[in-house]
Amino acid sequence: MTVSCAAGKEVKEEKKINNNLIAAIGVIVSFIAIYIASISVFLAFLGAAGILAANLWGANGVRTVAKYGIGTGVPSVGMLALGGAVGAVFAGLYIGKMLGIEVAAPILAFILSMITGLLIGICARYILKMNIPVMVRCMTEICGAGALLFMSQFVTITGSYGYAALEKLAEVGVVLFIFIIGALGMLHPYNACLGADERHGRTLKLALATGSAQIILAGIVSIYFLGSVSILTLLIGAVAWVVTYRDFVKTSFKEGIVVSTGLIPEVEKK
Amino acid sequence: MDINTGLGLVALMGAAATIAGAAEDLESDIGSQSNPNSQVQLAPQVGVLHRIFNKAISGEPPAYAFYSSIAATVAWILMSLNFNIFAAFAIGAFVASIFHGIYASTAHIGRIASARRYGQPIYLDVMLNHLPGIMSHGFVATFCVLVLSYVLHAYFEHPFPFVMLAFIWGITVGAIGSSTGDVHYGSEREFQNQPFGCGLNAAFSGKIVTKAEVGTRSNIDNAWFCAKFGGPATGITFGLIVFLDNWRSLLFTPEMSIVVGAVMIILLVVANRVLELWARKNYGPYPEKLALLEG
Repeated sequence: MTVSCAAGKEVKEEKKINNNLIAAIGVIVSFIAIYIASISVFLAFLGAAGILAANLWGANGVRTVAKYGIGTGVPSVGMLALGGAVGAVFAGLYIGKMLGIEVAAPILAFILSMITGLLIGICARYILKMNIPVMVRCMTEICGAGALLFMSQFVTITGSYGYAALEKLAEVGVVLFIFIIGALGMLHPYNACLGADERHGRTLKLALATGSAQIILAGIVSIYFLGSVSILTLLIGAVAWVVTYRDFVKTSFKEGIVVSTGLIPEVEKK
Repeated sequence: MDINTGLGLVALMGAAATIAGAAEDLESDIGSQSNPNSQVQLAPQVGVLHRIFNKAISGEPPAYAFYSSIAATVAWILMSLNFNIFAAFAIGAFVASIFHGIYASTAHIGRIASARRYGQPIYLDVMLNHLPGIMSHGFVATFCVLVLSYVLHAYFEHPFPFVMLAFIWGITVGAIGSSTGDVHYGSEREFQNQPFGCGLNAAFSGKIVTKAEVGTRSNIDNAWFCAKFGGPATGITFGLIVFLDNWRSLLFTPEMSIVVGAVMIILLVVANRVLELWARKNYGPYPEKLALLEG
């Protein structure tokens, strides 16, 4: 079998996806999901929408900054931003509780996480001299998305966004579980599609699939906190995962060269 | 707890850590994660097409923290429902291996599809043959991480919760697998056609060996090769870390254990340096040796 090195020419130019639109969807859908899911434990499964939207926004931010060739630094950048986000959520919810404005605590946590991201971005850009123009914006975005993802996860798991629920999660160590599934959900899509023919749309499809996998995981953990109600979250997660994973695999197979088996082809050098 | 029971439990933790380390390294070799991955990723770009699994899940330490956290969380929930501990560990590790397989498949498909312009095909048989090996080695590694985390949590009354301990040990096993065993695959197996110890010239970047002893090379061959040295070396490293660290804090007072730890580190640094010098002298055409030979 001989393949041509010019195979890439067959790949069509894709429509540009607006980063601002994804950010807007991430913020609006996540906040609506967080507030509605906290009304009743029977509505906790609606936090799933927040998980998907925040994960999509975060994965898009990771892609934007990692396009500058950070490579293996992607997980480091993402972990730092998400660590900052988790710290900011703790601080925001605690301050909200102290001031007696728990209803506004998620907004406060979000603002604090954006400030944390901004500071990390400024340090990376101007002190560490990382010459990436979008660094400040993307770190702010990843931190903000990380905070929304973290809050969406824990409202889905516990049915509340209060500081007391967060304390319960921290006591049993599940807070780290939420941190890491969120981190991998956001970092994995671009990392998994890395290459010359990486396409924005395909990476975002994988972000939806990793978001759906997180819904399943959140559903499993919520069995402990919410009992049988968590079946709803599990079901929604399973359906969403089957649809999104199938879509990603189909798209990848369409864009790649798929063979069932065979020897290594000879490359036709031009 | 009496000292003999304590030492027995420390030995059990060391044994579990040894198996976890070895399984972790072989799993990452089957998936070409971490150290060897950059060369597998680069190969099609320099015209070297291959039938090798290309898996990158955000680096080994975060990936193993991910699997271990999933396994520990599921096991903890089952234990709270009065499940048998080992059944809970097995189910937890099984759930983690399912997610491992899902993430591994997306990483391979996604990355190979992104190398289309170089003509690199996505071989379905490569994916289907390698995934069970990846998932099963991942299962063994996470199961053992759960065992050692549980011993630390339940018998040594560690202040951290079980899930948190599994997370931390997951990061540790991933970091050790990445730094110790992967070098055996990344530097040696992938460049087996180069003289041992020659140091990799930039011109050879991405030009990995793709032909096997018979037929085409796959990652199953690489796991077989690495099972001889890289895997066991990783297992011993992780096992020693877990065993020696807990041994010193069990036998000595807190102040004394810090001194013992410092002495251990100094001895290991000296031993490593001696070993390195001995290896440099006895093996390989190193650049300075080559310069001498060429006059």
